[in-house]
Amino acid sequence: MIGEGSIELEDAAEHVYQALLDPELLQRTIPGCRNFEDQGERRYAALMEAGVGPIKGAFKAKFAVTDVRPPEGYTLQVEGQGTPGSVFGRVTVSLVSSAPQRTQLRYAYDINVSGKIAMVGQRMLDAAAKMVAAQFFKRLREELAAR
Amino acid sequence: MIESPARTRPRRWIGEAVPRKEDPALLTGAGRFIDDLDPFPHTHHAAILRSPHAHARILSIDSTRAMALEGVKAVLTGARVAEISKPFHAGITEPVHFYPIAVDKVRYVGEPVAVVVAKDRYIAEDALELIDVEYERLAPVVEIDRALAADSLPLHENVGSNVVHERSFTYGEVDAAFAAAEEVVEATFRFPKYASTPIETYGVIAQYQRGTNTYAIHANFQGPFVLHTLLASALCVPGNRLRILVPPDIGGSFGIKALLYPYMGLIALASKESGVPVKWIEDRLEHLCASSSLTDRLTHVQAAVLRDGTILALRLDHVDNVGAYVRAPEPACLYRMHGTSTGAYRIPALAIHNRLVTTNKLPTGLNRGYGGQEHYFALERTIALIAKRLHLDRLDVVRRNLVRADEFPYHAPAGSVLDSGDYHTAFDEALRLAGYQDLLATRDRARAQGRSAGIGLACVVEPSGSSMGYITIALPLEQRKKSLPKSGAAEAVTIALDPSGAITVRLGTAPQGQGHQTVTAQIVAEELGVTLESIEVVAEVDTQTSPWTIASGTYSSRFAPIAAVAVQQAARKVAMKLRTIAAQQCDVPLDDIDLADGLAIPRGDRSKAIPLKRLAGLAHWNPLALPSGMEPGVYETSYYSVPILEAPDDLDRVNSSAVYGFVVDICLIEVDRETGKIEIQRYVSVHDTGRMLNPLLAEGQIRGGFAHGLGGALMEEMVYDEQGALLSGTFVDYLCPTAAEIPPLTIGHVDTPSPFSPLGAKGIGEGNSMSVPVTIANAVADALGIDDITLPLTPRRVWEMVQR
Amino acid sequence: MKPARFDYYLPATLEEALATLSELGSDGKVLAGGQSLVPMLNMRIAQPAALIDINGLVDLDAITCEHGALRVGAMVRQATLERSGPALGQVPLLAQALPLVGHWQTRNRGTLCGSLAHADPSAELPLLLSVLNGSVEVHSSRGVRTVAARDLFVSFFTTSLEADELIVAAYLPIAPARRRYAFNEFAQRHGDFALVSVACAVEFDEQGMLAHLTLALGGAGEVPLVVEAADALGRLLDRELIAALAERASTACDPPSDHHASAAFRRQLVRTLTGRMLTALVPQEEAAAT
Repeated sequence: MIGEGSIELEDAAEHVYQALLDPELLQRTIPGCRNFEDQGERRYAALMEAGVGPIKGAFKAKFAVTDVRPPEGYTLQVEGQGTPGSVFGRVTVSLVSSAPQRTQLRYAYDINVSGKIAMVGQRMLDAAAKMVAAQFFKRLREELAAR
Repeated sequence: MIESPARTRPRRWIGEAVPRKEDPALLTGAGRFIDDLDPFPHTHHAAILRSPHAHARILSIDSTRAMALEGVKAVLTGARVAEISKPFHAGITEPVHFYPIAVDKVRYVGEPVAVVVAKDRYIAEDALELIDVEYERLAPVVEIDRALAADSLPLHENVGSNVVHERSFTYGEVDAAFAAAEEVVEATFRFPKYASTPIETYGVIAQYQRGTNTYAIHANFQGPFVLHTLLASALCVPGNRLRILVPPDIGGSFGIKALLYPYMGLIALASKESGVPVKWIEDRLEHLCASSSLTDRLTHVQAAVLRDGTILALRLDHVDNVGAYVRAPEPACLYRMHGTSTGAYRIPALAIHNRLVTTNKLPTGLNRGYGGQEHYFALERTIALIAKRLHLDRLDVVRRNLVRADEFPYHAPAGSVLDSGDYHTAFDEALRLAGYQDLLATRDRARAQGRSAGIGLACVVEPSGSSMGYITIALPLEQRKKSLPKSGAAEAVTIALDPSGAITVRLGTAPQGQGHQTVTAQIVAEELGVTLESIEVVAEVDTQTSPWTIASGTYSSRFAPIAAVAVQQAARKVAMKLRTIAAQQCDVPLDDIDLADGLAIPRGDRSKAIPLKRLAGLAHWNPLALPSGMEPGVYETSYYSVPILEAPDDLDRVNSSAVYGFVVDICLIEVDRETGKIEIQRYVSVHDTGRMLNPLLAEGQIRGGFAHGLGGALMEEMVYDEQGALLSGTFVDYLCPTAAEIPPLTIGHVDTPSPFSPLGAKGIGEGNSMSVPVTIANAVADALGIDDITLPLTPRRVWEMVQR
Repeated sequence: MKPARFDYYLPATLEEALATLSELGSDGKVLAGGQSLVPMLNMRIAQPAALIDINGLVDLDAITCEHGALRVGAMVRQATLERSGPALGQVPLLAQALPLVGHWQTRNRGTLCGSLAHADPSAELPLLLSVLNGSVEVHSSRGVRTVAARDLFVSFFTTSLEADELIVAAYLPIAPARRRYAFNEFAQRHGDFALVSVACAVEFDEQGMLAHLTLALGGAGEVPLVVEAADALGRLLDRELIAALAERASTACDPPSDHHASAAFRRQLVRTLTGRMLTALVPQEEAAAT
């Protein structure tokens, strides 16, 4: 699934960028994230629960922050495996300063899903990806606002 | 002067529209399918962990947590399977190792990775969630073009390439024909991957008998029983230690249940490992991702033609995608049509270049039409393109090239011997039934009103009764010479009369709903002069007690040309025995005895007739009264093989099938340009089925093939994304036509009995699977004026074509 | 395809059902017709800890008329509704929409309220509720409330219901005398989830001008989408207006992409279906005049 979106944040790009590298914040913003583990070198492991409505799946997920371009953005590599199948792909985050103390965060994701979840949930996958992305960035905005 | 004795003719049954013997049980829920069976005490249940990845290395499998679950008996993985069994053989030279479970690597989504044996299926599925597998993802090879690329990661490292088979063939003066051609019509065709989807999925109940080192496997397996030999070899037991038992009823197969054999092996090994009998009933999710399908194929055609449309030669370049493994009987999909590559046409020269590739998709196998739909899609689109490029009437191009009625038996350049036919008459009959002039007028009226209507047609030679030797054409001559030649196609039938005269016929065909019991009863009733009701036809196969041959089973529409003949021959043996006894009892010459109405009647004199019951009783109870030298009892087996099916010759020619039917399809469709929806307004299909054994069953076969062909034309496709993830894993996403989607079909017949089959009958079940996809493609090409047609013609695809 | 373990509750009264729901919270899932839920259980993509089967609540299978609406209880099967002459007379859109819901066999079990609670954006019945501007009666042990269609559907398979709430009935407004309805969908096969569906309610005044228009889309976004059409009132539903409304519908939606249909194709289908549906609703004398 390919998708993109953007949110406006009331903060300077540098701050947003720093926040995005904060494992604590990642842990709180990744939907259904548990047992978050910092493995060093910007690699993380976690248990992640994601779903749409009654359809839920638990994944053992690995995250890696790569292609760091402070303060313009980075790429988050995602790889997850669980009983419903496997998920892998990346989310590219770019920050554009729209005004002092104002940053536009643009994201683009390219996520592949394989196994049972792709086989049975084809009709819902696009929706699921959209929802998970929207949830993630909505929480990010809340987290930043709370800082 | 001696009067010739009056004779009594038995009632004719062959050719009658007899309702199916099978139906009362099936329609009242009294069928006995694999899942209804409970043959072994203490049977456990298997569930299979399947790969979520298209291509990955298995780093580790940890089943500790699964084994700890109460009720779990065993967890079997690929490493163990490789220790206790051997890979399955296939008919190519490259060493593509195929086990029924992934060993080291997974190569398609859905490939078995572990088997859990547990007290019930619920627990077994719970345990699957507790097996921890670590994978390292590898670059997937999904499409044919990628597989052909030199830098694609080989699925099988020991082969070193994803091109796992390549052969070239030349028949006749191809280069000279192309030099003499006035035009060369050239095009590339892609055929999609789809399957057959029987209502009943795969099922296996296996028991390993430790005391005798014997496997007993109940399975809804359809044959060919050559796979018994293959399976025994993989399980490392001699054939007599592998007992395959096929249940009385199979809920449809359409070829796909031939590829049950890897699972038969896997569940048998699971029984051996767990020490208990194991039952596994495939669910629909498993079926759609990991049973079998036909190949997707890339075909490049060059046709050397004269301006009047005469075809001088064809060059065919095939790339057949067998998915992740080459599973026997592959590469048969590529070679089934080989001898018949020139279809219904008189084309004297032919060159073929064949390649087989592996990709990270479900491996392939038999499917209704096997190889035919792929082949005719290219051939019949080419015929349409020849007419279009040369500005000729399509009907003229077809008529000019069709094999003429006086040319049968026609020897096609690649070796098929087309036994009988009257293709021009059948073609004209199809035009007549379709009201071709009206179709043209309707189409043109629609076009004048700004709508998009089109007419499609296709002519298809429908082979039936596959030779056991044709697959060896995949091997080069020198390789072929190293083993015994393979020819023929045999079937075995036993008929027994018990002491009360009750008749039991035992088939080796493992039918899946075709109505074999009915036709068998018709033939036996006619030969023995008895009623249909008096005949019990047993369709269960037991390789330990039933007669069978390597070719046994139901596939390649082989019942009518082969098995039905074996039935007739066995019945004639029984008739001969009964008549011989009666002749002695009545003291008349053998020739004076007729069998009719359940009696042996001497010279038409019913007052002296002896009931068959009595003759059978005599054979059982009073053997001393039998004619001298005659064995007691009435138990006759007949093995019949088709004489015309010779082994491939040194020039790589092979007659791949016993007999050849013919199908002409014509349709009128209209495309809604705004929604991409195709409406079939008229569809006519004319068949040459040789001698029809039962018109009701023939019609059922035609309608079934039509539905399957329609699925391929309009909706069915196994869709994989660019990473090799299967997207069509349920019936929400893998669409088969239902009754509501099937338009009216007009059926016609121009039947020419086969001289090569004693009954004259030809198969009929696969023709429309072959013809419908290309007929509709031709119609859509005509409607939209577009040459590049890709199946299935879903609304989205058609709309996108219109946008271009 | 066997479900994971779950606890099973079969309450005998509504109060008991609500108490159980309240106790279980999000661990509990209500089972009515089961035509969506049971396959998800079998495929193990849904693994609720408990099922609360409301098939024992016989009081919930009534179809009545209340407050100018057809009140359809939570256990009324789609097939029952489809065969109910009075219901089809009062809400004629049911007669158009119900035959498109799955198949005869699934409608024998499936319920209207169950489909609304499932909130599949491609399903026919949420679209029906939206275009009729209907509502649902929601009970919990905390009380009773009414939720309008526009407030019910939140996102894909997600409603605004709290975990302890149960839809006890749906209200479908009884058709005013002059109102006409249409329901049109595009599915690859009969009974499939539609790629997109469109529905509308229209009324023309004495002069043949539009007096009412509700236009709604299914399968074209997260929830059934009601297209803004107030500016069309008082106008003649002519070719130009139809084209404008069809165009607006196709741009207002945000349809998903999958291998059956890209978002662009779904938009095209919305445009075509809307146009065709509205054209068929143009009063005959108007159609003759234009």
